[in-house]
Amino acid sequence: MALGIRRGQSLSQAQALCGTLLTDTADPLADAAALADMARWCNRISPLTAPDLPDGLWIDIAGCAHLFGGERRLAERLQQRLAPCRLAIADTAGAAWALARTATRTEIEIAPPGQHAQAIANLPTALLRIETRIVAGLHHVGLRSVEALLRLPRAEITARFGPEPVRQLDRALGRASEPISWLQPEQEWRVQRPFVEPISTPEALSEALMLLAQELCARLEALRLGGTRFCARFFGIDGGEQTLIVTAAAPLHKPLRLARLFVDRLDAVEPGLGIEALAVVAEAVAPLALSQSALDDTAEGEELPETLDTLTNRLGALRLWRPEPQASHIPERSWVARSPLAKPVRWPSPPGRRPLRLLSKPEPIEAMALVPDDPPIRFRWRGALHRVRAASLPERIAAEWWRRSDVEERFRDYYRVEDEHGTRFWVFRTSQSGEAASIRWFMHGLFG
Amino acid sequence: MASATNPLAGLHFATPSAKPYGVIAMDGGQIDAALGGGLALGVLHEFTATGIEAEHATASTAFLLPLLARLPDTKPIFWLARVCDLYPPGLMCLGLDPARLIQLHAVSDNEALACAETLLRAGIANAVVAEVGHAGKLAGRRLQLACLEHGTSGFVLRRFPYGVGTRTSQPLISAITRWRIAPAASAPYLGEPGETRLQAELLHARGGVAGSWIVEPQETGNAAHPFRLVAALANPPQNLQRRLAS
Repeated sequence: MALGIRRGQSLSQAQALCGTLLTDTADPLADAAALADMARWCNRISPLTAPDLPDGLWIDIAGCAHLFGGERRLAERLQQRLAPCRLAIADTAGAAWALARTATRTEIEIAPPGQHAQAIANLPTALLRIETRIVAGLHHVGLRSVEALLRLPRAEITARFGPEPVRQLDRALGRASEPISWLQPEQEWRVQRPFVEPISTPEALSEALMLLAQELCARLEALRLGGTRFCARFFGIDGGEQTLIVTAAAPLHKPLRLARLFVDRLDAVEPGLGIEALAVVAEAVAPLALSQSALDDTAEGEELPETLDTLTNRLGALRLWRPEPQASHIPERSWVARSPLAKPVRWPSPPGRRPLRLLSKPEPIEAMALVPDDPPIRFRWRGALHRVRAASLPERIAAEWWRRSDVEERFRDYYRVEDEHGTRFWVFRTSQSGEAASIRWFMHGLFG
Repeated sequence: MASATNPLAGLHFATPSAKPYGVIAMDGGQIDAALGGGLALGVLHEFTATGIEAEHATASTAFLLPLLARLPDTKPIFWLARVCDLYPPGLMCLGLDPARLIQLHAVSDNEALACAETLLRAGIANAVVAEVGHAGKLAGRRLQLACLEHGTSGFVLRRFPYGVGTRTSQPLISAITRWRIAPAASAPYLGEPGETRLQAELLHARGGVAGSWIVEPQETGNAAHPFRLVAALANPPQNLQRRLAS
């Protein structure tokens, strides 16, 4: 550099300037591979990194900077490790690209949040990543900086120079989205198949899914593995990509079952003009549980997980559960929902008579009792008046004092009451201070 | 050439048997007699209710639990509902082990019906209980056919959300039995509410006769039969309240 060697010089000129110049043939493929390696190295900073050919790297640090003590600390650290390099941080990828090209090797350009537009206002239009020919045209009419471009009506720029300048401007300013193909982690359990002719009928798609499921499941089963989460990716010929995700309650390695789970959801896929390639990925795998087959070679207990998977994928997770006991005296906390395939736990016998239906939240009722410590003689719940025919003795359940939310409610006195029609309710009384004035009544459940 | 002599030989025109998978005894007496031997397993039963009972279906649940508890414990029991407020310790009080239960939260009546059909057809359950408000004729017919496929008992509890819409519904014509269950005044013991009592009204039974009884559900460990008959009612239920009040 000091001798005046520049990019684009002819070799003989450069050799004339420097006699000891080392030369080598350019190898763009190896460069690209090295850049991709570097992008992968940068994964330690953010999960979203991508090489930007020929000489850049994209790193999306949204939500990552605080892990390194802020944006500046992160950039300094990166510069130390990757030196010599030029770094810039901005709200949009386009602005960061432009700023990085103006940064020096020791100084880091950081546009504060929301100020990327000002930061790039004075930069030349070439830094918007506009084609050289168009940049020359812009220069010709005197549009040298981004700011000059911003002042002109968009329609006029488009009419004269085509859509590119306005599009690039929008991307740099964050008005349009910037497509960056981030590096995908390599997927070990992935099978794919391109089609000679694009397919779009459900029958053809099901057939293709079945073939891919067979291929993937054969690979999984060879290692005694099963997948618990699968993703099918449909690549349309219009460039669009659609995904279907299915989950399995137990590790799954049966191609027919896997294909069925996908085919069940196939109506969510819009084939559009046609699907030209299909990939099936096992995103989570787990070792298969050893199963014992019956003497007549039919596997036992297969239907339950299969049907549960069908329903879970149709309805969504958390819609199917098995209740499991939880150690708490507070009625609504005495059970939790568990996976339906979890091993059943033995239930302790209930501490007293408990209702069949428990309201998710106790509902306040207007109750009337003869003396503060008595059960109510009549109460109004959901607009209907109930006269109490018989009532049990109270059962006191103390609040869990270690929970902050229970502090104001110290205890509940539960009564089983029966109204004149024979309907049996579970009502309770609580008071903040133990005084009669603060007594409140709640409906909590129903007995049969 | 059987078809040459009897052209109908290969076709099943006969009405399917109302009890293809056996029965479960109710009280070992009157109710079983009315049902023609007991409540049929592997078919569809419907439970309706009126008044506030139609909002929470607790009496129907109390009627169903002793029956479910007496089914063999080989496969789980599925309970589908839009409002999942079953309380596991309470189920134990009527003898059903909550560990046998798998619950499913449906967002609509149609979803509950579709899931119930899937479960019945898969044959992975010993019983499927669906709390459903509105159900069309076709849905009921499909459920009944699905029940027969693997002999899974299906129970439809008619339940409507609180304060929304109408509470009347067309009966499921395909159900083998149709019941209306209401709470009944218990015999108080020292002023406390006594054992749960239910008024069970058999509105329709294929191959049986209708009837109305007051029963007490019995826990599995305490009695051989799911119900103890307290009284047989000959009168229509609107007279019942007057009689009890007097």
